[in-house]
Amino acid sequence: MATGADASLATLAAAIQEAKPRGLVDLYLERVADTAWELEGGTVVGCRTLLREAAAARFRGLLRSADGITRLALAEILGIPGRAVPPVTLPPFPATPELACLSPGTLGAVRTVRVRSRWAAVLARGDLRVLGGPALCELTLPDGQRTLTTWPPPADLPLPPPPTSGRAAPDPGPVCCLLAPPAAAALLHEAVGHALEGDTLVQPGRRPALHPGTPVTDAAFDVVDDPTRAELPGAYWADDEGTPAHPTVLVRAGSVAGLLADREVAERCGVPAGNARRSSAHAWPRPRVSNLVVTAREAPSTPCREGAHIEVASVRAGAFEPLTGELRLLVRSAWALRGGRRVRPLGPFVLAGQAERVLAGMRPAGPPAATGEPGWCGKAGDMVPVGAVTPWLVVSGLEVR
Amino acid sequence: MNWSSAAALPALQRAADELAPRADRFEVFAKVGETLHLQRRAGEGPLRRIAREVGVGCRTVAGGRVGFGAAAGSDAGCGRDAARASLASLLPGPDPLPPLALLGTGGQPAPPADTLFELCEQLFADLSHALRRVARRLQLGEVRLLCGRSRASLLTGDGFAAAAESTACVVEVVAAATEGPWRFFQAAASSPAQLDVAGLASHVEEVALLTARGSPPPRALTDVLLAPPVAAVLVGALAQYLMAGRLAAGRRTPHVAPAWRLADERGGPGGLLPLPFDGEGLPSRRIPLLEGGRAAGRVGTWAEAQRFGCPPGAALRPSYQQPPVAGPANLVVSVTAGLAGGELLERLHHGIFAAVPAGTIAVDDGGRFALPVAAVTVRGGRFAAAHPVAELRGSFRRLLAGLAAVGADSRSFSLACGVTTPSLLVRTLEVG
Repeated sequence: MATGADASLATLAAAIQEAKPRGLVDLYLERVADTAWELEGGTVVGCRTLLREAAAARFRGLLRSADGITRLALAEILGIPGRAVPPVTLPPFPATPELACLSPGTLGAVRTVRVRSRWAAVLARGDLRVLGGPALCELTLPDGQRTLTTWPPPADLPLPPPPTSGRAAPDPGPVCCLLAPPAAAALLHEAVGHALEGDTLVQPGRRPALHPGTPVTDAAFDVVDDPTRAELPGAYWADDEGTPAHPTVLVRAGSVAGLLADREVAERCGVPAGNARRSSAHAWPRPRVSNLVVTAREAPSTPCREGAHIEVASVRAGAFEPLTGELRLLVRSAWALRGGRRVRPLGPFVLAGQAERVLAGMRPAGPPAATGEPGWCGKAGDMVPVGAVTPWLVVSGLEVR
Repeated sequence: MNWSSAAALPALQRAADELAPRADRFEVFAKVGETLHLQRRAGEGPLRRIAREVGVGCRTVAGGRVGFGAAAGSDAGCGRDAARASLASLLPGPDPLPPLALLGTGGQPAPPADTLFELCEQLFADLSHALRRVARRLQLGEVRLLCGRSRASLLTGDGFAAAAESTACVVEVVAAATEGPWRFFQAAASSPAQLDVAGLASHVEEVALLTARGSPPPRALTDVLLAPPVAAVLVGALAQYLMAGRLAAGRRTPHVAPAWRLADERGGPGGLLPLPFDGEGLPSRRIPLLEGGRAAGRVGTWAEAQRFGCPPGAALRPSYQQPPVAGPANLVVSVTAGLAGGELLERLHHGIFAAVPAGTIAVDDGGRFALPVAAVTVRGGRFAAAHPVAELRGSFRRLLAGLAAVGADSRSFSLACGVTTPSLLVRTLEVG
């Protein structure tokens, strides 16, 4: 049965089609409810709620957006008379979530809990499509490290390990690293995910030049961007241009097999669309990573520390510079290894390397796991939620700086 | 709706009406922001983005409980939603609102011109023209212009009301020498009239060509001359570190070179983003961070001041969406006896000239930083070898102790906050 909001949106779609705003590509509507709790020793000491709604009208070469979805605001961004826009009723904001969904152990270990629900719809060519995706939960640890999961969270929600507090960072220079899944997820997100975002790929002068069939890593690896994995934070049912979500194979048997595309890149490169994401109504939709799912043939069933100098359990941040091809990881939690055993914790340090060399020197080293990191991904200031499933990796081609 | 009539007064008023009978104390903050973003990539048509962000945030105190709620929009319904969200989030806690006696304004900057966006469109055209002039020797990857204006209004249940307006304009260029790596350049000012696009185009050409070819410098401890774009990144990160009280928390008192004069010039008139009051209504004041050989400790919001015993007045309100947070707003490195470029190079004599950032800065918990830069080795005060990528590393303690001289070439940048700084000559940083 159609709700009041469904009927109102259908009326809006019909009215806009009749008004024919000149050159309109699509109209994007968004409502986000965001509640955050501050905790001290497991007790809630503060709470805040943000109710945000906004609309964006996209034309060729122009995006006009406004907070507040009212007739006047819609008419202004669409460039049509106010009388042409009917009153709009949107779905109500959801009720405040219950913190009891999280275990006392989790609440005692975190500094903040933030739950975010998003409703969005795209109107294009007379067709209105309601997008969708899971509600999200962001947990912030006492040291500021954030991890992301879907809401309500799984019963066995893993939290990132605490930061290691060794006073000494490793000696600068090349190093062979064992990366636990959260650290491996950050590395692959930067080196594969961002590197194969279509808008980055067509950027003039970017490196490395990646084309379908280019070998980039060990033949044991397949990498898929999969927004249909509903249990991961980067999930959606249709992208922010209204294209139904589908998995995209980025790397098959170690070679480039695809790229992430919005409609513009899809048209330009002859690949399927379906990866357009917006950080908010005020941002252009762009090709972005959702959930990076990495599978490796012949991955050991337990982490293999032999031969590695450093084990990295968690990173604070990662960055990829498309203009130089360099990636960097700011390490938060790590140990020095000797003879396959942890010998001492390490203080924070930076790992850096050329993405092509790092990928070429990457081997599976342990079983896969889903991880709440990298969590929020920023690209030119636009933040979107992302998830990952990745095995342990052993990586050469990185150096300590 | 044109800019001169853009406000969120119905939302502000309705939120106050909702809260007045239910709250012991409250504060309603409304902000309207309009931005114009122009962008042109090589081989593509121009992109134009016009955004209006508007909404109301409410902080409420009732019966020993406090809450915060915010809602987007400018109509009365949005004010009602924000007030109700604030009331629904009440939890026991200390009153975070400053007393009425402390609230005030430090003067109102001139209101922005209604023709700001038109001026920026012209500026973008001028910049594109100036860059085409140097395009024979350069590749232009992307040119961007972002200009914004905002109007903030603050109303409290105690009877304080104030409003402030601000504008800023930022231009960014991604360019490379024919054989060189891509470089990112930025310039920012409070108004388009203050931006020298011809000067920026010349700077882009000079730096891109100067640092096009070469290899990384050998790892060494050496003296470094930081050009304003590099200095701004380090000064911004350093100020965050200082204002969070993290340097003061260290075991040793830092040695601060007497040449340092860094302050958060919140009330202006200098710098990029002056405002008459902070994010919770305290009159803007100058917050010295490095001066007279001393480093400031933590500076916070009113609530943090009560909790940690630090001075208040450092509240920021980038948006209506969040309650105030502490941080730098309008950083200025003051220059009393700035040296000209040639004098700075002579004073450097042997070392590295860091011309422009070549990546993002990383700062660890202990205050160690790493920043990739495009650089040139200087020998005997002259350029000797180019380094398309070098890495500056060190600790903030070393940066504080090592400042030997400043230039007379102050420029403004829009980073996490506004930063205005000249070139800085720093003794013994790690370079590699």
